[in-house]
Amino acid sequence: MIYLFSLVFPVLSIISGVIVLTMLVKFVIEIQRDIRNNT
Amino acid sequence: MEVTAFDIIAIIIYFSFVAIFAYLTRRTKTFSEFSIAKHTIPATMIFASLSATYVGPGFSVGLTSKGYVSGYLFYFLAFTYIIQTILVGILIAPKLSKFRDCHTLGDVLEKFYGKFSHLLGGIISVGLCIGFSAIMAKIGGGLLQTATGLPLMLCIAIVTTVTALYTFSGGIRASIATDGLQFGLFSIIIPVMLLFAFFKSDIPASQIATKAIELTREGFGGMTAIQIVAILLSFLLGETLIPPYANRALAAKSSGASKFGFITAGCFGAIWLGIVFSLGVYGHQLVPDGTNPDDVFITMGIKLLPSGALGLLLAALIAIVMSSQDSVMNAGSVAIVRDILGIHKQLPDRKALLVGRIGTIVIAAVATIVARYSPSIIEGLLICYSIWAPSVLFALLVGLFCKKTVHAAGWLSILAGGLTSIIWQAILKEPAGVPAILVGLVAAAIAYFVGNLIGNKESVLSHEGESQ
Repeated sequence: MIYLFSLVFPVLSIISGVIVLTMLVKFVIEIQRDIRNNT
Repeated sequence: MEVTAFDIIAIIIYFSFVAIFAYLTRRTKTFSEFSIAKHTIPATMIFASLSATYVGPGFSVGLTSKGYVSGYLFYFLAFTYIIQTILVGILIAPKLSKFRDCHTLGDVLEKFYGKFSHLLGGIISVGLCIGFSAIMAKIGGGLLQTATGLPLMLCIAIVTTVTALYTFSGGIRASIATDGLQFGLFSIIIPVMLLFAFFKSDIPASQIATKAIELTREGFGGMTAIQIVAILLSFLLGETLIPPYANRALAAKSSGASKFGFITAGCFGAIWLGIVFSLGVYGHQLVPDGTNPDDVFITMGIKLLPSGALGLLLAALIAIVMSSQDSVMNAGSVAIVRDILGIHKQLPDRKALLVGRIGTIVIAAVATIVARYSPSIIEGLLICYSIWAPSVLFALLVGLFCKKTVHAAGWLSILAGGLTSIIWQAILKEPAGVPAILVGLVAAAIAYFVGNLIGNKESVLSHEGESQ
C-alpha cells in the first residue's frame, strides 16, 4: 500500500495535471474563438 | 524561512500566467456567460475546476498534518467525501444540468418550493460564499506573508484583489480556466515533493509502512465513536453541492459532461488524499521531532525541494487558495443577482452582468474585512459546513427526487435546519459531542414532514419535465 500511495498515486496525479494543462490550452483557444465570433 | 531569488521568480511567473489566462478569458458580454458560461464547459474542465475548488488549504496542508499525527486514519474517514462526490456525479449532477434555465441552486429551489425558498437559499448561498472567501483570504494572505514578509493585511488584500479582478472580468469561464492552470501546477509539484521524499528517505518502505500502521492505530484508539461519526458526516455532507460545485454542474456542456466531471473529480480525490497523507507519514523521517503538525507540509518542502522549486510550491499553495476563492466569489455574486436582487423580477441582462461584477467586488471587500477580524479558521469552516446540508441541501435533494413538492415544506425545512444547526453549534456548543450537522438534518426532516402536512394543496407543484 505504501508503494501505491507514494509511487503510483503521485505518477497518476502528474499525468492528470499534464492532461488538464493540454486540455486547458484547447479550452482557452475555444474561448478566444467564441470571443472573436461575438465581436 | 529562507526564500531565494529563484523562488520569488517562480512566484512572479505563476502570477504572470494567471494574468495571461485572465486576460485571454476576460470578455463576457452576457450574464449567462458570466454565471454559467452559456453551458459550454467541457467534461475535463469540470473535473479540473471541481478538483481545484475542493483541494483547498484544508485538503493539502491540513490533511498532511493529520497524516503526521494519525497516519492514514483520516484517509479512511475522508473517503466519505470521495464517495459523496462520485454519488453526486452519478445521481444529482446530471439532474441539475437539465435545468437549462437555472443559474443557481436558488433558481432550482424556486421550481420546487416557490420564491421564499429561493430567497432563503440565496441568502444562505451568499453568506456561505462570503464565509469561505474570508477563510481562503486569511490562509492565502498568510502564505504570501510567509513568502514575502509583507504585512498580513496587505497580503490578504493582494490575494483577494488578484482573484477578484479576474473573476470580475471573466466570470465563471475565467474562474474555470485559471482553476485548470492552478490544478496543473499543484497536481504536479506536490506529488513531485512526495516522490522526492520516497527516493531521498534512508529508511526502507516497509519501515515507513509499519510506522503508518502504528500511527493509524494510535489515532483510531484516541477517538470516540461520536467523534468518528461527526467527522464522517462533515466529510460526507459538509460541502455537498455548495454553490460553486452546483454552478459547475449547471455550466456543464451536457449531463454527460457534468457526470464525468464529478465522477473523475471524486476518483482524483482518492489519489490526492493518498498523496497528502503519505507526505504526513514521511514527515516523521524528514522533519525534526516536535515540529508543529501544521508546519510539516511547508517544512518538508523546504527540506526536499531545490531553490526555485520551493517558490513553485509556494505558488502552488497560493494557487490552491485562489482556485477555491475565485469559485466561491463567482458563485456568491451570481447568487446576489439571481436569488436576492432578482427575486421578484429578474434584472435585464446588461444590468445583471454589471451587478454580478459589482457583487464580486463587494464579496471580495467584505471577505477581506471578515478575514482580518475572524478569530479562527477552523471554527469558521466548521460553522460553514454545519449550515449548508441541513438548510439547503436537504430540501434540494428531496425536491430533485420527488415528483411533487409543497412550498411550505421547503422553506420550513430550510429555516428549521439552518437555525437549529447554528444554535446547536454556536450557542449550545454541541452538547454531548453530537454534531450540529446531524441535529440540523433531523430538524430539517421533521420540518419538511410538518410542512407537507400543513401545506396548501394549491401550492403543490408538478415540476416533472418542466426544465427539459
